[in-house]
Amino acid sequence: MSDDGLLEVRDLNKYFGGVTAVDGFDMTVERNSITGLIGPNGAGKTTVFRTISGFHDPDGGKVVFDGEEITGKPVYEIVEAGITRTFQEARTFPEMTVFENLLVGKTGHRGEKLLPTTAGPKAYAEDERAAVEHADQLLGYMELAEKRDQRADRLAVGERKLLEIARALMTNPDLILLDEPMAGLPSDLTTDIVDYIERIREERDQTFLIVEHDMDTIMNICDSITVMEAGQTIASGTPEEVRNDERVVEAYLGEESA
Amino acid sequence: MLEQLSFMTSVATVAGIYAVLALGLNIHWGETGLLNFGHVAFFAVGAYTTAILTIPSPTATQAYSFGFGLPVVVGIVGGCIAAGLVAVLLGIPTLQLDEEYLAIVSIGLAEILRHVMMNENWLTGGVAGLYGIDRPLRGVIPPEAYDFFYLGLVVLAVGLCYAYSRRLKQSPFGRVLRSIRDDEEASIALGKHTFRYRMQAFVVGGVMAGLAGALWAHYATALTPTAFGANITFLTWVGLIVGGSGNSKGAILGAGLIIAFREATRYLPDLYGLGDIIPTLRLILVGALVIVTIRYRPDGLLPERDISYAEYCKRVEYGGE
Amino acid sequence: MAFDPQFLLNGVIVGSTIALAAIGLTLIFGILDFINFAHGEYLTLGAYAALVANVALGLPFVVAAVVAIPITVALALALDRVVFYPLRREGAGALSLLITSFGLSIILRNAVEMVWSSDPRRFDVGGAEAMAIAGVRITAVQIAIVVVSLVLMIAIHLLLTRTTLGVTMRATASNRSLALSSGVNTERIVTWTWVIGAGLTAIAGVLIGLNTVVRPSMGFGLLLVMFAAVILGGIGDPYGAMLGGLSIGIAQEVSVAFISASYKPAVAFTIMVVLLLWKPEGLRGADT
Ligand SMILES: Nc1ncnc2c1ncn2[C@@H]1O[C@H](COP(=O)(O)OP(=O)(O)O)[C@@H](O)[C@H]1O
Ligand SMILES: [Mg+2]
Repeated sequence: MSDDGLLEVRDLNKYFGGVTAVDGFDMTVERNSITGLIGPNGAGKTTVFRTISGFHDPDGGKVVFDGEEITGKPVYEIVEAGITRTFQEARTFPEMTVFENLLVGKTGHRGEKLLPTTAGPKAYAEDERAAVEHADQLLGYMELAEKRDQRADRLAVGERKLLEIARALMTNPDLILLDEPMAGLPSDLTTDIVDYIERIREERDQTFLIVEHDMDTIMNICDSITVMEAGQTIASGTPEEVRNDERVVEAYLGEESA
Repeated sequence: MLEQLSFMTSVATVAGIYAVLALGLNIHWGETGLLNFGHVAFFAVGAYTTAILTIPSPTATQAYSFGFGLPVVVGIVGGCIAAGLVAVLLGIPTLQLDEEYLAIVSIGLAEILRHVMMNENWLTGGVAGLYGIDRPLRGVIPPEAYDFFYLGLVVLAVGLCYAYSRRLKQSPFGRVLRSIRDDEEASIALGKHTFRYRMQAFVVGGVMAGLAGALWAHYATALTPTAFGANITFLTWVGLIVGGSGNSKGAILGAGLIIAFREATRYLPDLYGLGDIIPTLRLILVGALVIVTIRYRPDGLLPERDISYAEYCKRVEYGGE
Repeated sequence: MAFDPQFLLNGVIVGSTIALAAIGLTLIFGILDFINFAHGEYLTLGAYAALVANVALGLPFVVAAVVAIPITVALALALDRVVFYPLRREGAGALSLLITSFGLSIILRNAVEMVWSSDPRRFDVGGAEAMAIAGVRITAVQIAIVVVSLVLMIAIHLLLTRTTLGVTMRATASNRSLALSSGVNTERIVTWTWVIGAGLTAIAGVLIGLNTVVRPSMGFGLLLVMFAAVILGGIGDPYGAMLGGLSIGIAQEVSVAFISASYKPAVAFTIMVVLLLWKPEGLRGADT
């Protein structure tokens, strides 16, 4: 493989019955970058996310993460390898508190096994303490501390999106896949989320792959952008390069301004 | 006076057995969101297993061909293990699919097991059933105190299951179960191997129901297939929903209330001459209770309690901000 | 041993009635997005409605059977209004609806038993003399059962393909995410789903009662078989339900040649479980 990005997607294919959702898709995500994945509705972005993160088995092609092939592995192995995704529709655990939502994100917790659980709290005290500390730190970081004892179904949409990002961070991922993190949010909240993403990238050495519809935001925040249409990569490069690419203007930006 | 006391003791014993059933169902439905509509299957397997393990070998006139005459303790443990195995077998085809499939398959399994109980005479004694099942420490406890002793055993079982449920609830394991109940896909996205969790929860709840069955067998001392109908599943569900699913205390309370209601209405026929319709009328009322509870008080009498941030900090001796 | 075609014939008779009831179940599952555990009781109610008209009121059997349809439909619609609609309106999840239907099933079954007792009953109808055709025994009543079922299945096919309502129903039923979210006038479709689903199920109840006996537990006893038919055919797929019903009916009756007749339900159950293990993705709709 020529380049050595953190994530390499090569010639990915995914069909649903007769529908070709992803059709020979390629992309590279550089380490510590914020990379955008854009394309018109139905282009196959969510399907790419689901395939990278193990929710779908691809029908062809491969996904290499950090030098290791992860194609078609189950989600729990991919999370362990260091990739965590969020959902387009902000999925929290509605009948659990904000704080518990975060705690669930902790990976490799001994207390999540049945035997230590049966043995009692002492058997996993250390891990639980680490989880509580980590969650508490993220609460502060994402300014959710006030809501920590509220059930997630009481939160506003924006708060739920924040919670989902924070919960994904609990898994200590190297790469986070965010599916439309700003969709449906008022502009001030969008700015907040952009700030968080940039700060997290700086302070925690994290890499982001973001699907987003808001062109201004994406051009603004991303180091590099891949554009897809009808399941295929039609362009990739810096925001400048992509903005001026003819096929992109034709396929996507034109539609956007319509 | 003595008669009333003995009646109360027997009602309490049955209520305790249902409480164990409800605690098991609470792990399934209340904690993990597993729609188990065949709970009676675990109950029956627990009961028949301990019966077969403990009854003496059959004489020529008896329909069944097995009886191992083992100690009651072995029987009860065997009943729990057998129920756990049934959970594994039932879980394999269903727990990777949407919740509804478990509902369909479990209700089916319970029905099939009933046919097995009725038809496989060599194993279950058929419609005549199994009888002469031993009672633990029968020779040691004086007969007039035996019912109290047995109630004590049942209360101990309720206490153990309650303590274990609580331990699960407060553990990170229980947290993962709740996350699966709330949104399985989001839980998967966080790297949880949800099938494994669902299976473990299913087995734990199934074992509790098996224990309830074993306790029933040594209490009733005779088993017939008619005692293992869908109504047992149904009453357990009603108890759990009315009491409060996701809350172990609620499960116990609900089971107690439902059995108290059933026993209290047993005496109505004598009072009003309604003998014939009471059994059906009682079930109609109980069915209505489910519908009304789901509609107006979906969380039950004792709703699930959240563990607060402060509790978490205290538990791990963490200062917080 | 030589295969006895009599079993196959019995299978077709039983299977075609199961198919009718399964169409109703699958449409309700697909369109209302919950499994109605009270579906078997609608079948029972249909049979008892006809029984009352036939035996108590002395109406000719055919008239009684026809009268049973609107009665069952009206009951189903009333129950939907009182029991399910309020939950739907509040956006309660599929599981609340399902548990509610479980409660409803108990109420209806016991109400029937309270009124008519648990004794098995029979319709007052002739045509029970078996005749031998091509080596198999069949009664005039059984021929009628198969013919009525086939005619109804063709009618349903025409409805689902030739009318706007039918096409919309089929589209809604086959796509669960579309079920209640799309712009179509869903309450109207819900109503028609109950009308068609409960109507077919009532007829199935009458036909099954005609072929065997009428008793309060008849519908509940068939629930497993109906579920198996629905799963075999794919949820929300009325043609699948027809095929599933027929296959399960035939499999059950043919199995009698090999195993004890009391394990007929176990045959349906086994088919269902094997299918869940072998082809679950087909049952969950598309790979999600
Ligand atoms: N589970 C699925 N079953 C069938 N078709 C699907 C499924 N998921 C996505 N598709 C189809 O794949 C294509 C790409 O969808 P998606 O990845 O959601 O696009 P995007 O996120 O870019 O809007 C669309 O045509 C969509 O209808
Ligand atoms: Mg998308």
